[in-house]
Amino acid sequence: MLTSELVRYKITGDTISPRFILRNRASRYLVDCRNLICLIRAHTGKSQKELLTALTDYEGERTDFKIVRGLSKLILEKAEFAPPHNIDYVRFREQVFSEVQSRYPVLTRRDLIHQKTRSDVLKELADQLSFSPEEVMARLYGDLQENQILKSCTIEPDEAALLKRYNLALAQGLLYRAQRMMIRLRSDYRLVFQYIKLAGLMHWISPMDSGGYEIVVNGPASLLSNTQRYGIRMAAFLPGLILSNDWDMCAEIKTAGGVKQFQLNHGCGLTSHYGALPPFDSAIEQNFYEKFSRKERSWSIEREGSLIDLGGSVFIPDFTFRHEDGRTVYMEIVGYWTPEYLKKKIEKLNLFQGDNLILAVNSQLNCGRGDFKGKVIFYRTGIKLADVLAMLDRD
Amino acid sequence: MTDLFDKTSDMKEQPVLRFHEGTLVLEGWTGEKDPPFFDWDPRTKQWRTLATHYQKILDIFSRNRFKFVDKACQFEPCDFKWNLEFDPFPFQKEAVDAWIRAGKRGSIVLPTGSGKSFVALDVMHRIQTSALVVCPTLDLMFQWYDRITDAFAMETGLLGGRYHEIRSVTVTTYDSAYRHMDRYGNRFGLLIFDEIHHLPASSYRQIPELSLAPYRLGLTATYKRSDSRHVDLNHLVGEVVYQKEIRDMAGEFLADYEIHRIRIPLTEEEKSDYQQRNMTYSSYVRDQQVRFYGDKWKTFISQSGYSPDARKAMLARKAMRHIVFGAEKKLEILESLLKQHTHDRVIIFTEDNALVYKIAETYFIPALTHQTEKTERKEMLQAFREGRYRYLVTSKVLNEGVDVPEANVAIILSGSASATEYLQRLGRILRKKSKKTALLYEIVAEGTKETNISYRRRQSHADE
Repeated sequence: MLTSELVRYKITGDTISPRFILRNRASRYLVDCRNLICLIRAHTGKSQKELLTALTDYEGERTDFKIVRGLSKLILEKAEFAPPHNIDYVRFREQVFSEVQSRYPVLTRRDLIHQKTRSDVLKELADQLSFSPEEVMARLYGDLQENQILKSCTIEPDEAALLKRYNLALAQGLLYRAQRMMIRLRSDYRLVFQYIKLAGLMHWISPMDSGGYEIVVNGPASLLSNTQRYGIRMAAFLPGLILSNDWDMCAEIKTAGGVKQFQLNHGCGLTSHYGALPPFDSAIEQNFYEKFSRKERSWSIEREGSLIDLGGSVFIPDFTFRHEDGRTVYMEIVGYWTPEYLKKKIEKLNLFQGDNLILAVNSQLNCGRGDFKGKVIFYRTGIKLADVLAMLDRD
Repeated sequence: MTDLFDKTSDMKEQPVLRFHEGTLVLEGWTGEKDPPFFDWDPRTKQWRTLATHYQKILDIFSRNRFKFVDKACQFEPCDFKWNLEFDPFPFQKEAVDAWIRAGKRGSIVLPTGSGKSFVALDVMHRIQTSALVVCPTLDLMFQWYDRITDAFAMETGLLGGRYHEIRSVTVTTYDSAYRHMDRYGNRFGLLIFDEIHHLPASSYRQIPELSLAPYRLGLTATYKRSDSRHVDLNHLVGEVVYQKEIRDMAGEFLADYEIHRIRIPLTEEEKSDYQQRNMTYSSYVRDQQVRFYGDKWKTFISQSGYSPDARKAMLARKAMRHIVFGAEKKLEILESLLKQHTHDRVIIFTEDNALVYKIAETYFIPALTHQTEKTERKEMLQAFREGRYRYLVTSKVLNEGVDVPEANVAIILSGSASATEYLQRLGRILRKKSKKTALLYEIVAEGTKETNISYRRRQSHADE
């Protein structure tokens, strides 16, 4: 991610938006991307100081230096630097400074009283330590950041990927100062909630008339004061949201000129580097879905089509069935098993108060009908379509 | 008694108070009315409030004999025992007494060099609970670490830089504390803010807000902020409970000092380079009416991101600063001062890191910067205290409160316009260790912007 001073944005009225590098300017900056990747690669084995000087020279008097710096920041994100010598620098300095105490003052010019100069002192020190004067000077502060050597750096595969990463980093950077995020989500609920949870954020859900859900995202202390402390977490969450196919987002960003709105949606062209979930949790799920949707029915089936707010967490049933007459029934498959997981799952499901939930429970699990509230069917190798249809039509 | 509390709760399961990421959550509340200080959080369907209200909540619950299970508090009782002889100055004792009388909250304002850290150590010793010390820089963090380990011979935690080690006494920086308080806000019963004038910044104020600590101490030499936000400290930490000015103390507890200001000319080469850059810079500043503060300055910075002229002016300014900071004659003067003070303990301050290492490499003087590792730094300061090292060169590191009591000569090689900084640098050599009069040299380049900075600094010093 970028440091906040490298985040470029514009404010128009009440809205704030990142200055993305868009198609019309992309070709120019693709050249920069390529040059910077080459320049940094060419500095493998050289000192950080040399690298930084080269980058400053590259930047020159350009007014778009923030872009150049941002790109190199992203290239260097995982760079590794190491000191040039295999010695204990601290001990070495201690030796030099202890030796020199009796030789003060160290002077660059001779005078009537002081006949010895710096180079004489350095020569004496070098002899004491069995090094040449140049070797002493190279080792004295060899472990300083700027003297360390660029060992390796994990670079984005190509300039196009780097530019995409840069645009995403700009959007993330704007969120550093976000107080809260309002999301309208119409698909990929499980995926998005996985990343909300991973980022340590809290949420508040309400269904929208047009379908989908409105989700307010912020952190624990946000309830009590407007704080930007969760901005970093929202920035970390953004690539997770982008994975969804249908969403829009409005974040409240604190600026010197008041709170501004930052809006983004699935058409923004940003790409995520986060991983998506596997399409189906299990073969059981996939087989059932395929069997069910093979035929036209009065019930339609949706995968992860609903969000149920349990207060503090969400429950996203594996399947949502919708009847032509408007009835909705959820189905959750409980097929996985470790004792803790099962215990948690049962607790969570029992929080769900509605009677329109079907549980399909693996009969090999260490639990019985009494462990769950509501409608339960058991399965062994696969969920029987007839069982589910019977349960649906019972109402 | 009010009917706020449901007394029948004795019979049922007791409500539970928990710490959740810098907030307090109350579960199982069955009272008719809303619990005091709490807000309803519809997101998690719980009562929630900021951790800072912990003590007030305990007070009101106990006044009403309301039973609950406290799962929030994770303070650890500590066994602070003096490892060194501690013989406080009367004013140090007075300060701690005043803080205790004020309810173990509030700030103590004392000049730099008067031993504020001893006041803090004494507070820890009297309170005997887990404590978090928050200070502005990594270097100060290491300094406090040394102090606490020496004073109580106990393992001290560090949070900041490369360190993430929480112990019952932990030292951290404002930045790290802000980042991690939601995790550790329930671990410490005592918060100590060093240089507390930093705290009212909008992010840092969340450090006390997200903490349960009932006991809070602030320390500084310069309490008042130009933006008046020190007023907020009253509710965040408590009011000023004790204050003593430098003029009340000099000669009594602090050493005398003399200031020598040395003006040096730039070399011909530096001068022409400087003037050339200054033309670019000044004409832009004049045309655009740039000011060195507030919005005009911010506009200048942002303009350098699209206007080539502004960008050139900004680069010219940077180059000018570079010329002034590294002026050749400054090193000449430094050299002659070092010649004069071969038998003194000299500490050299400069503004930028590059110059620190240039001096270190030219004159073989140990350098202390934020890059110095904690063990090396400790050894270096120890060597300086014991006289094994006679000189030290440092960047801003030793600015705020880091003490080197044995130094009797300080040389400032470059400066900035902050009044606080100047005062605190002065304080460094005012430690009551040496019987000699301390000497302070300030080396300023003539005919450059730096003279003005130095003048401004003196003015604000005189105003104190």
